[in-house]
Amino acid sequence: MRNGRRLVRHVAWLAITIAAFWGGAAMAGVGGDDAGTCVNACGGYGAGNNGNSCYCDASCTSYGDCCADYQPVCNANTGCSPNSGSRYILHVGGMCSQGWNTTLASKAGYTSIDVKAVQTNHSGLSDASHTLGLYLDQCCTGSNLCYVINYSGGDAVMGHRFANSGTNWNVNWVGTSAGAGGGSALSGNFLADIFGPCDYSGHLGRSEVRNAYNHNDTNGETVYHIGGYDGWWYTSWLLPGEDDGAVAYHSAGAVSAVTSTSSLCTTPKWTNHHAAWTCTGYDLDHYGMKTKFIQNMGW
Amino acid sequence: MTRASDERDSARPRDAAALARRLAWLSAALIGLALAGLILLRTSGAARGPGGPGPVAAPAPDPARARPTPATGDAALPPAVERYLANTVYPPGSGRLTTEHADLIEPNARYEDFRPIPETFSMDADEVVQVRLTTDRYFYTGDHEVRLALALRLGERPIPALGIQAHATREGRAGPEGDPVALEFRPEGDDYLAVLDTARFADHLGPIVVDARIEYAPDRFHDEQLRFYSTPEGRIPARFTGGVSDALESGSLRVDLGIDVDQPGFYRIDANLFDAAGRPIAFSSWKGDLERSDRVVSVGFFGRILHDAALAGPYRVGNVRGYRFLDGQYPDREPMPDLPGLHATRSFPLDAFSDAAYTSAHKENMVRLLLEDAARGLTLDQPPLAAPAGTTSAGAASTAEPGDASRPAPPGAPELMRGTR
Repeated sequence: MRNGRRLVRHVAWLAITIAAFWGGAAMAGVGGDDAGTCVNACGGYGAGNNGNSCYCDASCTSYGDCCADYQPVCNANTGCSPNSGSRYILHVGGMCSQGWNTTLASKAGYTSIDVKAVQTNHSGLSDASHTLGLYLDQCCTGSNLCYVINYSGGDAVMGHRFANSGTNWNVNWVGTSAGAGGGSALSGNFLADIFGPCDYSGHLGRSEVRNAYNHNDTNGETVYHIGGYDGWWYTSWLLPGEDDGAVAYHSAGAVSAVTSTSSLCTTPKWTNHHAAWTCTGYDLDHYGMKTKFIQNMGW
Repeated sequence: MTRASDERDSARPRDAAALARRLAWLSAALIGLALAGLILLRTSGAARGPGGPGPVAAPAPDPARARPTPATGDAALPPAVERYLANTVYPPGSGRLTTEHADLIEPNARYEDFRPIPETFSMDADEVVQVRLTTDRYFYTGDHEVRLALALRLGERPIPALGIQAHATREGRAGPEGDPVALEFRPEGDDYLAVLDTARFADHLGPIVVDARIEYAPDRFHDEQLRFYSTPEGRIPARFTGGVSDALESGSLRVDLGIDVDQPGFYRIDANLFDAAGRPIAFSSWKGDLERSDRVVSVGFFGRILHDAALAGPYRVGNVRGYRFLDGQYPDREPMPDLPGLHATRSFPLDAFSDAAYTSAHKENMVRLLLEDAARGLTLDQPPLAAPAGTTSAGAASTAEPGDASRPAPPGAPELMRGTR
């Protein structure tokens, strides 16, 4: 009996490991391994772990080995025209990514921008937040007006930028899919490393993210949240309440307490954060949630 | 490729459709312009703050000098503007504070809980080994003894660890730095405790990583990790002097905090306001540049918040904390030591606080941009607020699909099964 139970446990564990590696590969599809960043590295070799050996010097464009954030960080080129009466939709990707890197919103009268913010290193939150600030300063001031769409770790990047800037940007509102602003219980152990094979994935622990910035200071902007409940069984087992396999509803729903909940409408929430469309969420996993906000908006 | 192709397709000239679109656009623009004019007419005489009516064009961010920003409840406003105004009644970075704002009432808290060791997976919760590694706060500023607590349990029952090997390491932009410092966990009650003196990392600002390898069963090991943030004495950028005073200013409460700045730069200062009985009232923040010559930093508690809270003074100012923000650097925060204790304010009558909504040049600009867009025929899409079953969702419906409210709820389903659909 005891041996049989142990066998079941081993088989289950093998399944967990295999599934986790498979799931991790899917997650990594938006970015992947540690990548260099040009934050504090313009003119030379990319900073951070720089697993992709990228550069931030002028010749990187001809060699084709620029870090993803080279243009915004070193050349102040975000693709936006400052104070031009333009309308932009900024897209901020998730953990272990170097940008949104997939389908952008398409909305008449608006230009979609893929924010190339590198979130792969130990310094991922700081670096990506700084880079996002460059975009916001160019795209969302003066006569320009923006929407911002976040996904997963992009939630924390946006929150960090809001809380640490004295600038009021012209952002109508922020939409967040599967936000990681509340942190994930998966971070900090080896499963997190499998989920997002980059150093930054270990920095999304609940204590780290919740202390990284004041979540109640959205710089006056309203942040709308949606979440998914089609968690993978091997990670749902480790997360409290409903989840999408990577973040639980307390995070996706911007609940200020770490609580086990099956409703995105659970309160209390951080100030200026709201659940949108549905309290029950969507039958999607973390990966499937990425473009859900855009789809919902009909963009 | 698909998206670009779609865009080209949608841009093909179709004469009739294009003409209809132009007419619709022109009509919308005319209606919008008329609407904007109507709003300006209706709001130019709107109630102003205690300072009385001010010049319409004066670009003053002073909350007491209300600007001709349209007011909520104006039926003529587009819903997007209405919602924007409703969401910006208080200034950015401030708001009502309640006991539910746990992270503001207790800043610098930790959130670790017991979590399962994956290798002990079982449908029977009593067979699952769980671990918790935590300490008492996230930020340690100056020299401190960090008390690390590790606990194991089988189901709900504490179990002993057969062995714990642990060390702490500095972490920089590219990962671990310097030699690890060995940690010794000793039994204390049901937990194991290790004490780490942050002076061991006197040259390091930023995360310290604690790695623990736990033998939870014979020859079965689990790796657990914990981070905390250490600021050595030499990197403390400024200190609160302990001086606290207050004043009523333009219908709001201004709290002046004495400060001794060692490193100039961009700072963020946070504080909470309570009534004499300890009931939370408001949170607020100040963000800006401080010079060495600065001796005071002022945190404002907006009059409308105090008015809405309707709790009489004298008040208590507490949870005063701050840091220098180093944009683009890593780590990007140099915390200050918190100002301990609660500090009493003078007593002001409740009606001394203005009930005027927050106004600013930025807010006016936002409303102007949104009205411009409405006039131009640009859709001001916004997501509808979600509402629990049996209540009505607020906000305008958009082109979005409804939420998946019909999914089967598994009442009583074990937590393990939730999220496995």
